[in-house]
Amino acid sequence: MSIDLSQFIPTFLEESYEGLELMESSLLNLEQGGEDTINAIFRAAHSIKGGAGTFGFNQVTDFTHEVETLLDEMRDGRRQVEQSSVNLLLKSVDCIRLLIDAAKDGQECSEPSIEENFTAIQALLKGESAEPVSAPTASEMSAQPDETSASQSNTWLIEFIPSHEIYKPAMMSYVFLAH
Amino acid sequence: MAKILVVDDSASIRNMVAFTLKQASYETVEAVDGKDGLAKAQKEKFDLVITDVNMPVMDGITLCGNLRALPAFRFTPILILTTESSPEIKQRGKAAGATGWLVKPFNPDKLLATIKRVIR
Repeated sequence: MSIDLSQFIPTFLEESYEGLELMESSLLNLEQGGEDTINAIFRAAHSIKGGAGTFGFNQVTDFTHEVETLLDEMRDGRRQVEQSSVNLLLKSVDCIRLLIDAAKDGQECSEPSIEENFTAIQALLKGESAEPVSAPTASEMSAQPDETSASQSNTWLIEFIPSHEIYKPAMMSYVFLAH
Repeated sequence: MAKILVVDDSASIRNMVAFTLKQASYETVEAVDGKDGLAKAQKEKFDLVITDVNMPVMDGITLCGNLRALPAFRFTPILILTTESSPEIKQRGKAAGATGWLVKPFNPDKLLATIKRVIR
């Protein structure tokens, strides 16, 4: 079955512009806001990226992905919230708006500010990571190597006691394996 | 026909998922976050739950764990539809009782194919 989703583009656009406004006002009040504020900013970027991908707005997806990565590091405490990062994010909101404006008209956006901001975010993500690069602590070393960085500042206690029903129909482990 | 609960804070994604399901003749109920989804699940029985992860109030992983604690949802398939694909978050989803994982961008055909595999 082939399903045409283009009728949902107006809803996506409306939601995205609202999300960008929320990002802007929240970034300006980030110091007073705390955890909920940074989470709300992250979710707004996350939704824009997700929806843009569905409609093939690849320029929006690629740019917003970098913004989301930076926000992710800020929200789970791997990166200090600094004014320079906030300024960069505020400029990025303007960039995403330009990208969406172009995408809705079926065009690519060639504003120089897009490339400049994209490069600046990538440089920040690569160069100034607050994550310690060497000398892991004993507790870090005991964790799974590939999960250490993602899990250390977002601690979850997951109690999982398999019951006899674990292999019944709803538990289809191959569905996980397939993705 | 099977009845499906769709949980996502993004109206556009929620509407697209519900539209896709209706095209395939499934009955749908929509919820705007994990808490809303849980409240709806406590009122009626569903054959499948499709949920996002990143949502305000209650996220999709917490919803999944809470649904598994309800007797009516112990064996109900729960599909997680999200842009998140890190092994760490998949592991959390699996531990909370998720049946399967669909990574956005949302693809209607892939969703329907996966549903056919998990609903009997």
